[in-house]
Amino acid sequence: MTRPRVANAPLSYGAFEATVGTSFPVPEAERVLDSIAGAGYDGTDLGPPGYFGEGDELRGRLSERGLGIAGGFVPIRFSEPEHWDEDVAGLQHTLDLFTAAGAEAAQPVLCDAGGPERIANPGRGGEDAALRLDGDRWRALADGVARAADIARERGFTPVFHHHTSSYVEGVPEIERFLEDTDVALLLDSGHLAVAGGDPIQALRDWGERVGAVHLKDVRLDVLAKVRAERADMLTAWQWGLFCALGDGDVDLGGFCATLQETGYEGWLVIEQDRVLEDDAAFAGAVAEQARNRAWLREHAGW
Amino acid sequence: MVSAVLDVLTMGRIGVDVYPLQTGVSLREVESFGKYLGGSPTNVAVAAARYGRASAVITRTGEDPFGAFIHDALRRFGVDDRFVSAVPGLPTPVTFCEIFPPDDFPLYFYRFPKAPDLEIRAEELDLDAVREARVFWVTVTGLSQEPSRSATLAALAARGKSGTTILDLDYRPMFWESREEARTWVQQALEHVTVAVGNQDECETAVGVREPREAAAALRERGVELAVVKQGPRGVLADDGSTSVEVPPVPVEVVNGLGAGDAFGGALCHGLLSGWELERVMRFCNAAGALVASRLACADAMPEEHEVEALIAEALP
Repeated sequence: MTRPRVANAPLSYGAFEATVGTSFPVPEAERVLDSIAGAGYDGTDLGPPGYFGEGDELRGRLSERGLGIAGGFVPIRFSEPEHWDEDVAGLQHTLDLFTAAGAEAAQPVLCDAGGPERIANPGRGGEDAALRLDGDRWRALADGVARAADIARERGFTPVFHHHTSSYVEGVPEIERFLEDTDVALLLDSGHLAVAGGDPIQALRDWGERVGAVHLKDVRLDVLAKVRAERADMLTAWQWGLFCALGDGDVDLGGFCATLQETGYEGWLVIEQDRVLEDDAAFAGAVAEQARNRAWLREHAGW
Repeated sequence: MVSAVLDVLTMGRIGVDVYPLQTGVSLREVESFGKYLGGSPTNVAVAAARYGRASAVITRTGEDPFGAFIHDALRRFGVDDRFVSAVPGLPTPVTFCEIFPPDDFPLYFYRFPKAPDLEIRAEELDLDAVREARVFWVTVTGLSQEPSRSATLAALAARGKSGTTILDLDYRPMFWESREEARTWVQQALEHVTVAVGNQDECETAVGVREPREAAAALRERGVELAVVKQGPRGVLADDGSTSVEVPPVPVEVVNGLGAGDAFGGALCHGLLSGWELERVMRFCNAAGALVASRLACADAMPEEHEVEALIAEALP
């Protein structure tokens, strides 16, 4: 029996765009790779470009641990064209790293970077039409996604687009509009969809043919209710533990995995649990949690 | 297949102990050796089996004659070997020692390039067996390298503090980059166990304090229900929050102190499973440790219950 390949990501261990290169504690790349491989994952997200190394170093570090690259997160400010060149340079860097690592099947994960009013109102894009982009800015987003996708395709990679909390493609109406207006495959994220009020299982049924990548995340709805009641922003929501260990939250992940199996999904399944480390010792907690997540998936989905 | 629930399931180090048959002689000069089953958590499983406990060990060997010997030895001791698998390409570790009674027993580990028992993988664990075992025993050495580290943490998380989950604080500096690094992982594991057992030095690694009462309190603050601090010639301190007992050692003529800690561990499993009062458990552990210290071998020297009881009776004033 085949199973989807399962990956994790450095952000589960405290290394992502908002921590690498700042004063936040960030673990050494090799420790993260050891932990991802040690917990039994087949691969990893690239993380902040360069974090895992470049060129032969990156290739060597991955191959000696038997890890593949599932994808690379590429945030782009699609609704702010003045940043286009800078953001596309980030995309190109990610593609360079994929090439250097020999990761032909790695997926560039395009993601909209949102705006201040969305970051201040996580999870509301599905219900509050006033938060959505107007016609012109939406068209700019759709055009930008098409251009970014073309850049990736010209270099031999298949892009996916990540609907995301506090981005302009967050709520179900926004995702459906996105699917209509672009030809890019969707990265379906069970956690971000649940935060936006969507049903991940229904999403698989409705959008299955367009789903090109899957992130598995659990969400605590009590934390979500608090985030909404107190109008907390996105980072505060992360810190409150909105995304929790698999099985500890309220998303029907067992049903979600069963539906994935029914639909014959064959891509990567990426487990992510965004984490900001309070100190160096907190890394051990992250390692324990990601080992537990991998065991959870094996027990509950048989993968 | 539904299998019977295990009384004691241990996880971690295994190997072949190659011990001099002469005492007081250095490895430079010694000429004859005996070959024994070894590895701390393995010895604990053997010790528990001697008391009639259904025991098993999760570990890995090389794919070589010593690996085959390990399976033979486990079966001979009545320890279930179904969770012992081979790692192609790595040799079964051997451990030499020198025996200078009463208190100098240097160990020489040959675990290169890597010990197969550190290749225990989370995805290969039988989590049902881990959850159902009445006592689950893990060691700090199992946290020293991946993938064993993640496997150990995954097993502890799956168990969720059910039943009796024991962490042997077993800190061996040669397996670690630094004491601080070990402390980080020990503290992570402590959150998931109900019992911690170690000597004063190991307690210092775990919680930063050596003084037995302070160490026990610090371990309990981290969520452990029962803290057991071994103090060598001063005996042992055990604290479960409601009772704190200090039990003196049982005097014996020491032949080889190695393995005494594992005998103590096996006895601890047996005593806790028997539901004895804390003081009786500690007396039993001390006597079991003393008996093995008076014998040359480790696994082969693990006592039966009547032997331990006889020594306790003998030691009473």
